[in-house]
Amino acid sequence: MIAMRAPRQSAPEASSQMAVYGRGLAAGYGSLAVLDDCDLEVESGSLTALVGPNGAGKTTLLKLVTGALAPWRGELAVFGRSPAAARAAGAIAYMPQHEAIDWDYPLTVRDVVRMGRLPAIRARGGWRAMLPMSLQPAAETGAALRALDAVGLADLAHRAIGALSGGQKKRALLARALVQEARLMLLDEPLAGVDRDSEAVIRALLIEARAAGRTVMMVTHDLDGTRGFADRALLIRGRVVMAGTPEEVLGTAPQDPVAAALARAGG
Amino acid sequence: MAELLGLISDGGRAVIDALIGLLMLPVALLPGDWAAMFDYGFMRRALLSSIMVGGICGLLSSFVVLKRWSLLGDTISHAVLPGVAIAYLFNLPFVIGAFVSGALASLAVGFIERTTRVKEDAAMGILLSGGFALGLVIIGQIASATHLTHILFGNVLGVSYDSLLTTLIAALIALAFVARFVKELTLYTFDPIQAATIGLNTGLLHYGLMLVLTLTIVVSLDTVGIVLVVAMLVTPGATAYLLCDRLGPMMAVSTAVGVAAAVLGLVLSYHLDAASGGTMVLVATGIFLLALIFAPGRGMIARARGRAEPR
Repeated sequence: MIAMRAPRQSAPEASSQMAVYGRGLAAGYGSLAVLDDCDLEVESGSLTALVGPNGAGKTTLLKLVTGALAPWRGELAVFGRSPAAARAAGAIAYMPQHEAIDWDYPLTVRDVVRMGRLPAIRARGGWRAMLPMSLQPAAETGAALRALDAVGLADLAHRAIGALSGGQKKRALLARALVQEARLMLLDEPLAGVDRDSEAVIRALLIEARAAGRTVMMVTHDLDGTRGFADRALLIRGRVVMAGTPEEVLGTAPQDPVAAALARAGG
Repeated sequence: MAELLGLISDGGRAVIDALIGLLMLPVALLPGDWAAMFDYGFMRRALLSSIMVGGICGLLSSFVVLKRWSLLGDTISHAVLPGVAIAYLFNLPFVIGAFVSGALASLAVGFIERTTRVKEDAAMGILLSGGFALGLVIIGQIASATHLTHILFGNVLGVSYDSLLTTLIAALIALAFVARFVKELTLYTFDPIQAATIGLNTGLLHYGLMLVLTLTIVVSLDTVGIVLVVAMLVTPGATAYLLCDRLGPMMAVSTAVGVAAAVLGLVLSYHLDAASGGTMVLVATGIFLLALIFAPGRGMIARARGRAEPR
């Protein structure tokens, strides 16, 4: 197995230039360890793909960065701060996997996207921040409608969220992540099971987000599909076992059985 | 101290009397023999109690259904019994004992689920039956069978001023909590990971909602009783879920269903000389069945039509 690992350097100086910087991370569920001794570096302003087989710990790694899961061991910094501080500053947007959401929930597409404005509303504070969403300034709804327009769902704004197709649901969740205007966007399988149109829209918007200076970190099964799209690919198997451009990771892949299988599946 | 309590009690009595006075305005418009039952003071108090209990149960019911907390509600309501018994033993207000033991049971469910391999439904089954059994045994030693029946099945016709005041305060707390946190609760119940990612205090939302639910259950005991209160926390929300595509309307409909079931149940039970808690729950169940059959889009008739004429 090939392991490309940067020599260890002291956390504070290295982590300040990185969007996400982790050292020696271990995490899991119950007594089941999913990640062990995992180092992670995601450059600010990059589009980074996390690839790897099922159960490799890709989603677990995203959950550590979101703060939904606390690491057992190790250190983790987001923009040089603790994940909790980065969260509180509204620096992190997250798009969950399809299965993580109750699609029968009684919300319209617009309602779902408008919830992405909640961090900004809370950050503004004051008595108005305490009121229900429908009593917030009209600008919040306007921002949600613009994001829906960007993902091509403006016509479906008042449809029930559960009535959308798989690709449309992903686009709605992407719109919710976009209206957060966060510096770091974490996306769990944004391209899984979507139709061609939705995939093109999502890819274009992620490239646009990177051009606007945001850092994008996405989980994908399709290593081949990251070629010419992602700046960096991180191959995950309990930890980051390989890091480089998608071409580099694909190029060395045949020596690693898992990467080889992925390359075949993707090709 | 005693004087202060007396003052609060007197003030509360005035507030309750004012609310009952307001209620009598629409009642006066009813046909004579329907209005006649509210000539009795106990029926007026029962009406106010039914409206408040039906209202807050209905309001919270939307979140109980969406959060899949039906069995949790049933667990809390049954686990309240030992607290009631112990409060009775030490001559404390039963609300305090009930709230503490209900809250302990809901926390214990979470503790067992997090720290052992026993799953949530088994943990709830154990606490529901264990807590209820403990209460039955203690009450069997200290109180009469009538007393036990009132706790188990409610006694809305015997509701006191103090009990109405407690219910009013609980209703205001529940209303304030929901109004203040409705957008946060919506996100937390729809997508808990996103809620954590944007820095919401999900522990506060989770346990806050659980405690408000416990409080609501405790003050509903006089009206519908331990065994049936869960129906008032599930059926209105489930009915509204069949009828609405948005959360705001769903909460409005489930509150309305809760109030309608409680008030209609009270009136029917008076005319039929039936158990009031049971009648309220039957009315709620009837409304649910109507929605199940006739709901536009999701009802059985609409589904059958959809199959007959494919789009």
